[in-house]
Amino acid sequence: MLRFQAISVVLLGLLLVMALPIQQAVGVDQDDATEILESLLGLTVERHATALAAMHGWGALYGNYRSRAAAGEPDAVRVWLLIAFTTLARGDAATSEAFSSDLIPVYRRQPEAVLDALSDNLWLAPTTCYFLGAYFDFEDRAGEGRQAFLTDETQSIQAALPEAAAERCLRQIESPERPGP
Amino acid sequence: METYTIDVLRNGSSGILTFKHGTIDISEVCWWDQNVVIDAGTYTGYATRMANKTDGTDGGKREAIWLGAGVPYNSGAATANGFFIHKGTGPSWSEGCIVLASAKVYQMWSEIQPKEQGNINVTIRDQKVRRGRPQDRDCTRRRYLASQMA
Repeated sequence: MLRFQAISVVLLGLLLVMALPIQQAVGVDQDDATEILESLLGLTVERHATALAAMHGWGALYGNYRSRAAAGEPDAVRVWLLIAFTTLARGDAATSEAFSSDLIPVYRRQPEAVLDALSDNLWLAPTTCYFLGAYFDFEDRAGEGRQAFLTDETQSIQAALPEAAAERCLRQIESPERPGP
Repeated sequence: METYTIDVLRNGSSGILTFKHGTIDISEVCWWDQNVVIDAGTYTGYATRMANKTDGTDGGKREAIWLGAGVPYNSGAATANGFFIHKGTGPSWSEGCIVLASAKVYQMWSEIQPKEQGNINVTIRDQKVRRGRPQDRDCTRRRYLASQMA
């Protein structure tokens, strides 16, 4: 349901980005946009010659937008969260594990940029909030730091998102449940 | 090119990963995320590194075995391209990958040459429950008759 609700928005957004000349493409490389769209739709990623190269290429794409998101580039934050959405929609285990490790550190560095991206794209909140919450259970963390994060960030999340979306997001952080397709 | 074999036999929430080659003989407990379960089958594996994990045993990126593209999971519900075998101390290290002790992953990964080649057959199987033979009817009848005579 999540995929169906958001897919038209994603497609429209990506097609718009792809339709723009590169100099107006708001920080999104045209080939990257194509790769994300192809990945989201389960198509062969044309920019890579083999499946192995595509796997490495997807990893590099993730790393590039993570670094730029961590530096606070607003467009990169949005694209990185779109990659998170794509990752869950396509059941990509390794990239899910990367987001489960990386999203909280990026959020801690750039909370306003992440919340601005979510505020403008509420449909990205379920996957983003899932990965925020997953961090606290991932790789033996066993919930450590979750309550402190909620204490620190609840007010900011409530201020950035509409009431119902904020409530759902906080619930995901408290007790993450992978959003279904 | 030499071909290697990795066998994963699952039983409930954990399994045993087996790898034998030369003097290496690994039989080790492994885990995975119970919500994202790779379908049983044989997949072509590649010894590689995970692009976004920097905690490799040798100080580089994390050593892993990639299971290739289009791997079915959750009883054929979908296919995905991001399943690996990599290090981990329990299911909390997984969002679908198979994880086991880092020393064993590194030992296995180091043995496989060359890297970045589809030279591994990874078989994932589920333990079948062995059931006892149904009781012999005649035997049951004799026991009944004996109890009536007693």
